[in-house]
Amino acid sequence: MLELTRLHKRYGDVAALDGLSLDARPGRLLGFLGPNGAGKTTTMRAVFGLVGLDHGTVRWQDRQVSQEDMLRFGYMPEQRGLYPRMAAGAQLAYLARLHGMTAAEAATAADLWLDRMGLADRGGDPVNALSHGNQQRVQLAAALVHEPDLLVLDEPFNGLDPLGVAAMSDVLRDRAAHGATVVFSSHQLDLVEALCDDVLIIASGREVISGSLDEVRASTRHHRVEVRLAGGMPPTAPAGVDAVGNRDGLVTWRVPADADPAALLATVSAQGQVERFAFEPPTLSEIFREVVGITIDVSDEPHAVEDHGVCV
Amino acid sequence: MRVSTVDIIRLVAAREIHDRLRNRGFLIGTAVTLVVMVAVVIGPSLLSDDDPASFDLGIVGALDPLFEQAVVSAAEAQDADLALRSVADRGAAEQLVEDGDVDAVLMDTHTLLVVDEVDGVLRTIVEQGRQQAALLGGLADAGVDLADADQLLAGRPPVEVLTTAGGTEDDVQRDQGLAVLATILLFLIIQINGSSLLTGTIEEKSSRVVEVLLGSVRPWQLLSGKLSGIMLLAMAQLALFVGVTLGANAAVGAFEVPTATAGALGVGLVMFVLGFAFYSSLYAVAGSMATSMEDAQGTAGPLSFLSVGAYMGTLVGVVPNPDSVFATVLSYLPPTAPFAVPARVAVGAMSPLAVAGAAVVTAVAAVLAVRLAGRLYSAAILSGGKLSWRGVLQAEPVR
Repeated sequence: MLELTRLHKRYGDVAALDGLSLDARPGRLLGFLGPNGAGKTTTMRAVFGLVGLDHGTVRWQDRQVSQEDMLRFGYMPEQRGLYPRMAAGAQLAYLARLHGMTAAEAATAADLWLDRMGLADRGGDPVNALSHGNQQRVQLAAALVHEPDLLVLDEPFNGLDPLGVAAMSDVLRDRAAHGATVVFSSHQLDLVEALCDDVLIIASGREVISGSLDEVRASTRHHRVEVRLAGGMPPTAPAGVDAVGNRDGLVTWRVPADADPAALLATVSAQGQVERFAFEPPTLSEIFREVVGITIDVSDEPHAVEDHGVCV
Repeated sequence: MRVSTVDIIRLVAAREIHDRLRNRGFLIGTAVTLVVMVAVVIGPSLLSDDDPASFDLGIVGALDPLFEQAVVSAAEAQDADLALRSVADRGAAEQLVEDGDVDAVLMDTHTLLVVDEVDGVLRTIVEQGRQQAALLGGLADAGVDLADADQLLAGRPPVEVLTTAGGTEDDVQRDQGLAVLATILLFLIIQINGSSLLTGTIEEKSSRVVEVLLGSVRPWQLLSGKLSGIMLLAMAQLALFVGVTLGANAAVGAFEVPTATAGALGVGLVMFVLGFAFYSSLYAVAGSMATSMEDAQGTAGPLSFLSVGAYMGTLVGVVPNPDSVFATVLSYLPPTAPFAVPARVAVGAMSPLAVAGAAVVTAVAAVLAVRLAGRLYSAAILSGGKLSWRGVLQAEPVR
């Protein structure tokens, strides 16, 4: 189990981490969310001791993280990086050896992961000769080649096409199923929703909400209602209901969590023939907007704190 | 799974060496240095042809036996072969000269016919021949028996120059030559490997692979591995350069290899290792501060300035005047000592005690430079942008 407790880190006037805590459990996938500049990358770097924390502890298996523990960690930084002129296979083997594998184990593991990534015949190619998508696969393989117990992936889905996303999701699920602790950050909230067991949303270096996906959903004071009437005429929202979306007649309302679905359906039915009616907990995207106060699309605007030469 | 620091350093060093041996810039730099070293050794031999010069000299009209005797003996004194032939008239002389059958034709006692210019040695031979012939003629007129003319004319051995140190002029030249070679070698090896360290570090930083590496390896371990790999390469280069230089020397016999004492060789090697550690560790920091080669021009600028200055100062100030105050001061300044000390030892200008003192000063500086580099490197290598030397000194190191 990975436990980060009350992490504090300031860069000049900017508090990158302001008392953030995070628990990640073996066999589970933790989705780590927050707008840019919220402190996700700083938190992930802190796991590897790459950030000098002002306060706070990073513990693994109930003890301070040691250099030896770190050999059992796999890291995929946000800024992808491999030696551009080095052959993919040799590079994976090199990283495996730096994590303590013997030469023979490393060679076997490199071949195995190239094969799993569908790059069995490209192991001899320099990384810069591979397509962008294939470079991403090698990058993931680089984090996994030593079969780590803890996987920390910063935006692993960035830049992947749908096939790549599916492959990445499969690999992460597989690692968790094998008992690994998996933490990843992402801006693709639908993906996090489909993949994660646990969620942590942070803003300004502080936790906003955390728990299992169900707990997080249940914690909100709202539910979402989707309604569509035959003919596409938007139904009129009853009192106390926020209309939050309308796409081709499919209307989305935000209603109090304790609203009575039967009463709502009755109201809608009175306005026409109901083609679709859904009453459900909000999506992660809606929860994010609710708790962080902005949509993740807006927060995607790049505004990393480059003044300090550090991405927080 | 376990991996010791020694294993990590070995792995990083091996990758570094493997990478350099496939790097075109490194290979070209090494090849150019080889060419320079060989040129320094055999260049002078090519220019000063050791084969005895040989000349064909035509003479219009009857040969004066006195002149013939004098000119042949003058040629011997110049270590040249001279063949004389009689030429009928000016027409024949022009023909022979233009056809290259003779180098020159003596038209009368003071006119030499050539195509465009005359070889200096031949001119000297002819002039000495004339003077000696005139001298002999004068002596004969004065009634001196010329039976001993041969003995009078016989060449004298050249003046022998002895230095106060008990050597010869050649020894001094050879020792200075070795001092120059040692200085050039160290400089070129620092330049080649400094720039390859710079490029390698920038590549790791700009390709961001360093963050992946630092996920399991500490910055100082990475730096130590890189420096070890580069150090091994530099030693191999040194062995290659020295070997090829000695081979080239054996081929042309440019200088007599001194039977240097193990001590002198040891001094050279120790100062090389210390100087290389000092400069290369700082070059690695300069690389970690930059994000592109353009940045690196700026971050490595002070280092290049320092090494070029130390190199030029040694060549210009230390080699010609190894006992000067300037040379003594340079021997104790860490950036210049690796250049100045071997150069001064080569010409015998340093006592063992002075060498030991300079080595200790440089060793302390090299250890401090490597330690400082470890700190600065770990502060700079993960920073997003370009850092100045002031910035990196203030930045916070990780792990």
